[in-house]
Amino acid sequence: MPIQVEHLTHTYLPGSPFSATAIHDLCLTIEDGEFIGVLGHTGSGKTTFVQHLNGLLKPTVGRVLVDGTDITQKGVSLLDVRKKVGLVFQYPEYQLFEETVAKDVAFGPKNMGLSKVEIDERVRWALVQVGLDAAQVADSSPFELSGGQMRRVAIAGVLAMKPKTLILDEPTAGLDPRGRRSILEMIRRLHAETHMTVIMVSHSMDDIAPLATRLLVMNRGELVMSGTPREVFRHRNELKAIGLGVPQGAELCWRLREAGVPMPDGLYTLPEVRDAILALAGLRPATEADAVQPNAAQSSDAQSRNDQVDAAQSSAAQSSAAQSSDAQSSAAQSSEGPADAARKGANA
Amino acid sequence: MLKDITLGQYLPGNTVVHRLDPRTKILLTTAYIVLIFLVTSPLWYVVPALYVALAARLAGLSFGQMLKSVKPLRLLLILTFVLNLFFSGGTTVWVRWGIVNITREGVMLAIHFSMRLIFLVVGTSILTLTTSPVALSDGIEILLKPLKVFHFPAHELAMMMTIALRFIPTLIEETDKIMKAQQARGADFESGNLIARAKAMVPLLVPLFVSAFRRAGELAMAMEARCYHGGEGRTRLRVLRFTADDAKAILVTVAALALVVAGQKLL
Repeated sequence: MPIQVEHLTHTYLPGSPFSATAIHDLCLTIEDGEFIGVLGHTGSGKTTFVQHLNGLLKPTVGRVLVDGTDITQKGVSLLDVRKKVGLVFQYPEYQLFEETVAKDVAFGPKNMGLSKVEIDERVRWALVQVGLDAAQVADSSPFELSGGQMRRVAIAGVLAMKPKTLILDEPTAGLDPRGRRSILEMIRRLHAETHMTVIMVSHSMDDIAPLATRLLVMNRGELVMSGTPREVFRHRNELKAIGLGVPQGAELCWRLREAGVPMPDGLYTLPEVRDAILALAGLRPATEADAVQPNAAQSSDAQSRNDQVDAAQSSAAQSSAAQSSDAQSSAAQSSEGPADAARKGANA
Repeated sequence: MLKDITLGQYLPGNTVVHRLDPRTKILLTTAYIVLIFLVTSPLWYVVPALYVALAARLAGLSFGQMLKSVKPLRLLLILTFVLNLFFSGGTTVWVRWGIVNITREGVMLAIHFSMRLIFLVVGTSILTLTTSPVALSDGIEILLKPLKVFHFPAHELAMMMTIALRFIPTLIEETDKIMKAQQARGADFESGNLIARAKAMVPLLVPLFVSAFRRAGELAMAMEARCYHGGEGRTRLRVLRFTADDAKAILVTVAALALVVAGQKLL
């Protein structure tokens, strides 16, 4: 069952001189199994919005329905809502408090009133899901772990409640590139394997682009765009205007088009952009060795961009499998007259 | 929800009272407290009343704002009034009802002590309403400086006050966030008996302490990185200076004190 948000408006400190509307008249439906990316500049209301989905904040106007139940009504058990919708806060490692990792992860299931056997089972399951060795870390103090591990424990603490919907607020904030990649990969796997609905808040386009099935773009408390990444990233200038960018791939396409290269519309992952460039150059993307060849003929500027493409390729590889075939066909369609296009590309 | 609490009651402004040197204001407030304790009969509260009214008017404070400071004290006030009314003894009995005696002396005493409390709170609140916490701790630091002879850590005390005040909003925000994070994991802070509620605080207090210590460590490091080494040889951004207004304020206060002392003796 989906999550429905109807005319949600939230005002902080209403009636006081400090009153501020964080969300204004938001309407949307989130279907089961979706991977939603919530994008927005700092202060756009993303965090306020997701805190409504499990009843931590009450709307000033409007309602939120989870599985058809209006969670804003009195008498609705908030514990039931929080069982269904798990929320991982920004910097969740700061909420750890127990003596051992296992006890901390067990906090949620314990509040749900589960049996000890069930709790133990869930703790182990959750630790495995976040990529931690349960046997190794379960009995150590969470405060002895590294920052990245602490964050995984905190995410496990929410996962152990086995929510149907998992919300992550800036899960990669403050992590180094490696920690960032591995957390994103963990989230991708969770979504693929458990078929959970995942809602991820971020302001990083490159984090969200390869993962999300739908993007919600917020600005000043309003929903300004909603659609697949492909649809949303077409609006590069609108996104720039509200302080956001587009992923590297989409940005590269846009700049090439500005420079007169007839790049096909709607590309955003780096592998599909690379393939499109190769198609324009009249070369079929085949092997790595081939990929280097045409670059050498182009200007040094284009060369460095393509190096970037290759370097980032490995990190985006997992998502490329599904999308590259689709990209290839779209690239083939739009690049009628490859020889002509390639000449233009070379001029640019 | 915790954000709704307003901390410190400083109301920014640019009146004569706001601009007074914080040292003057602290000293005058002390003098004002002495003044109140010098008043021996309810009638003479006219002097502190006029004094407070003048200060409030100059500071641009409304009657309602002044009264607000008394509100938290209403229970204590009622208790003071009732206890003095019934249990102070005396000879001139006005009402006799069973074992309850209300005497003339009792009524006078009840009024006297209630007035004393009200004037104490209202008068001193002018200080906190018109002086920013930073200026206040600056003033305290300088006033306590002579005590250094006795190894009294005046600078450290003032610095601690400033830092504590600075971090109150940060900690409130942090508490709010951790509370929500634990609620998202099914924590319940609002129901159950006293023991259950105390136990429910553990998931809130542990992370809060951890982060407070972390912040303290970071702050200490940041201060050291900027060469902080205590109060020795430290110069100030805002140098406090006595002005003509300070002199006038002191004159008015001394006059009020003299009036109460001399007036009560002579009349």
